[in-house]
Amino acid sequence: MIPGKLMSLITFPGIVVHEIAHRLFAELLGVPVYSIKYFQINDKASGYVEHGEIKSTWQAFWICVGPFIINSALCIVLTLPFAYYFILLDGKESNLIVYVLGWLGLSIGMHAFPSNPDMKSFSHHAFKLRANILIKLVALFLQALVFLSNLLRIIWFDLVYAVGISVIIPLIIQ
Amino acid sequence: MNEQVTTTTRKPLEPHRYPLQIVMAGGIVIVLFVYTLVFLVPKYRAAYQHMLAADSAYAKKNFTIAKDEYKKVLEAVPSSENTKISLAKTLFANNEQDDDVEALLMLENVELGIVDWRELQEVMPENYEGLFNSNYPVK
Repeated sequence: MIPGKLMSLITFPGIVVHEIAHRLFAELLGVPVYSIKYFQINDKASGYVEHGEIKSTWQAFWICVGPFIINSALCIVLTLPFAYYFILLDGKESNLIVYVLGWLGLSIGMHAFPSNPDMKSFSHHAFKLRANILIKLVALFLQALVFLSNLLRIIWFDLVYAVGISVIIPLIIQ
Repeated sequence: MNEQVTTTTRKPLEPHRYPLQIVMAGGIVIVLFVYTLVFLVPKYRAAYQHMLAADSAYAKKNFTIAKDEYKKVLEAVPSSENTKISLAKTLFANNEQDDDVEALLMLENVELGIVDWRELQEVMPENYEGLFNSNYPVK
């Protein structure tokens, strides 16, 4: 098994994009960002965003799921040549650029899921800001889903997800 | 991410302003991606379409079309082992003895899985089976 720190190091572009996505959504929604660590080797977190007060459940939701949208979209786009060449056409050796974009795309896709603290933060806001019962249920459901997906990282669920979404475009436009 | 909320009066970061190294890395990625989009993806996409056409023609036992289509895939992706195996199956299946040598050459240095081997056995003349160092039982 590859230790978490080594995995973070190998897939660091995904962590950087994950943090950028949190920051992007926070700023788009008018939540000030005070500091950001795009990547670090640390036991607690590989990156973080320190932002101002969140005033609505929607802000909390979009800041939380920002990386899922941005990382997944970038993974789908950047892995396009890699997916065609290696996954669909079973090529064995290719242009260096295809390898580089494949590594970048898959790294980014592997960090698409919100972390458990991200999701806890959303649930916390949903309850603190007195959202209606439906939003609270959605928050709890999403928290469980994210917790499960993060747990399944032990069996490379993050990589399976990244590879899976990388073939979306080729399969749609065939 | 470890999201941290602060309520201090600190000055926030200027929105949408990123460090130079991140902007430069993003620029390089965009250039690389545009390069593949212009020079590689169209070629691979066409090859994938040829592969689908070849698979469809093979399923309909239209071996002449399948052979041409698989060859077009190999022009774009010469290292594609699945395509080599499929082309070899097509060449054996069309019952033209002249094509058998080409099929055997196609399979040179190709690692066959058990499913590939079984499918090849269905179309390959039995006398060729001894030419393979297969770990799988013969029929």
